[in-house]
Amino acid sequence: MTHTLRLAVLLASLCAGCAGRPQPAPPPAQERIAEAAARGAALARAGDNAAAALRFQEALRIARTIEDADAVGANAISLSIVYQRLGHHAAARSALAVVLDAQAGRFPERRVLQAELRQAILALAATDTRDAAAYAQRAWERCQRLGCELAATILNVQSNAALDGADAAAALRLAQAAESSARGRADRAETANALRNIGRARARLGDPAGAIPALEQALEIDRALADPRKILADLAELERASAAKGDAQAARGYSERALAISRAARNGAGGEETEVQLRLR
Amino acid sequence: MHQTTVHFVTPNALGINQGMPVKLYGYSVGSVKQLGLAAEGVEVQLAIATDHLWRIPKGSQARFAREASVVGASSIEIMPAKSGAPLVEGDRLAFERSRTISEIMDEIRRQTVPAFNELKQVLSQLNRSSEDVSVLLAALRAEAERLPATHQALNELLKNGARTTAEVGREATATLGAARRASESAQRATDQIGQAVPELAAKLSSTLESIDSAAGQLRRTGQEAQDVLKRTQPVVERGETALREAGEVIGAAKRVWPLSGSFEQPAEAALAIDSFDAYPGRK
Repeated sequence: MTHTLRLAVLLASLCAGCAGRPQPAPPPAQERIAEAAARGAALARAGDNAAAALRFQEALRIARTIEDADAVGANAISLSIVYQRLGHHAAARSALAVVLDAQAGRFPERRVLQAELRQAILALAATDTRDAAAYAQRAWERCQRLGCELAATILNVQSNAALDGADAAAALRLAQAAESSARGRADRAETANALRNIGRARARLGDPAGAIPALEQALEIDRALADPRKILADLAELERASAAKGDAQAARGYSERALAISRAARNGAGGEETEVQLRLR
Repeated sequence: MHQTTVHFVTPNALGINQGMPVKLYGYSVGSVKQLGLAAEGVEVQLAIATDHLWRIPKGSQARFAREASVVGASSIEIMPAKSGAPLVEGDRLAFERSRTISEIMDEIRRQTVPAFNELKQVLSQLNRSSEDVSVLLAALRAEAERLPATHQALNELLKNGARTTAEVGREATATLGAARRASESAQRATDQIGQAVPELAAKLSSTLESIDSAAGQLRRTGQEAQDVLKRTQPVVERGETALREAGEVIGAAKRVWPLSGSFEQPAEAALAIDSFDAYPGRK
């Protein structure tokens, strides 16, 4: 019998040994945390952010009772996401403060990185470009050190910050790097986000014709992902780029599609805005 | 875009939400418009783009589906009837609520993780001390005696697998992928063990000889399983039959294979961070 075969048999036997004894039940509290968090995530993906927030709050509460720092961090970050989507931005920042304001070393570094990235996103949504860039840079440095899986997301956030800071050339470079990173990880959502940023950056650099193929690709991915929020954003960018290119007919076509989605999604504010734009033409 | 409303009734609407996409051949053709209590359970109204209705004849079925990943998005999938007049406003669809292979695989993962944890404990115990080796050898001998029973369980699974020729090609591909990953992971684990505990391997050689024949038989059975999987493509039928078979796989795998290393830990329940939340207007 070869050495390798012996070792393989050893491993198989060890596993058999595991099954021979009763398996330890997971701690009930951790099971409840996992269940509440899983339900929260499912609800958030289905668009029910209010119900999701209740689940994540419950998971966070249980995690605190057993001082499970990793679970506290994970659920605080999830809460910040659903709070932001519900429009509760102060609550979203407070949720992140649980991790960001904690004593160094209390939370795993991966959670701190995620919290910094989320803080950058919140700052950007609040048009605080400087704060966003600072947090995104901290997340980037930590990510480089840890070899994290969020590189594409961070680069996209940095690209967004550069666009908000009127540095379209930097935004284009960052978005191209994000696209490459996202494709390497087969991350379709961030690939589409990167392509959208590439289109926006090219349009800002005076190349709306060059922006359209990237935006079309982003739209194609987002349609496959069936995310109406992103499809709407892609159509809005395509409308702007087409108008800038001088193709009014194409711009109107994109605008009408966006309007149809807004109506279907009962996105009152977005629908009204698009409708006003159409009436003005 | 004009939409037509059709509906189905389910005794359990768990997981179905307003706005959930309705898909035909994986392509979005509408969404869940409304849910409401009805005499038979919950009435779910679907708003479907009228342009696509000609593809959905009367007698079509709806079912609750999830994408390949367990954490993937859920949707209502339309399974069109072979022929007939298209659906019209107010028509009722039959509804089938079945467990998907993804859910079954998730069950497998959940059940296998504790075994993996125990394996890690045993390995760390081995690394810590050598005085437990005699105890371990006794355990190994006892477990080796169980291998024939495991082999029999696997053979039963193979018989079931050979009989089963249902479709679910995509899901079967995922199952095959898991099996391949299992194989790769076992090889990796073997290499690691080879580096970490060479002395222990030498001490155990006599015990290993005694279980060599059983292990060889087991490996042949594993190879047969791979062949059946490749030949028949879908090995598992939907529903409770699949669940029973999966249970047998779990039982056999827990006892024999170091499969726990092949199954990834269940995906983290935390929400994925999406840079789209930084897109202008997301405030």
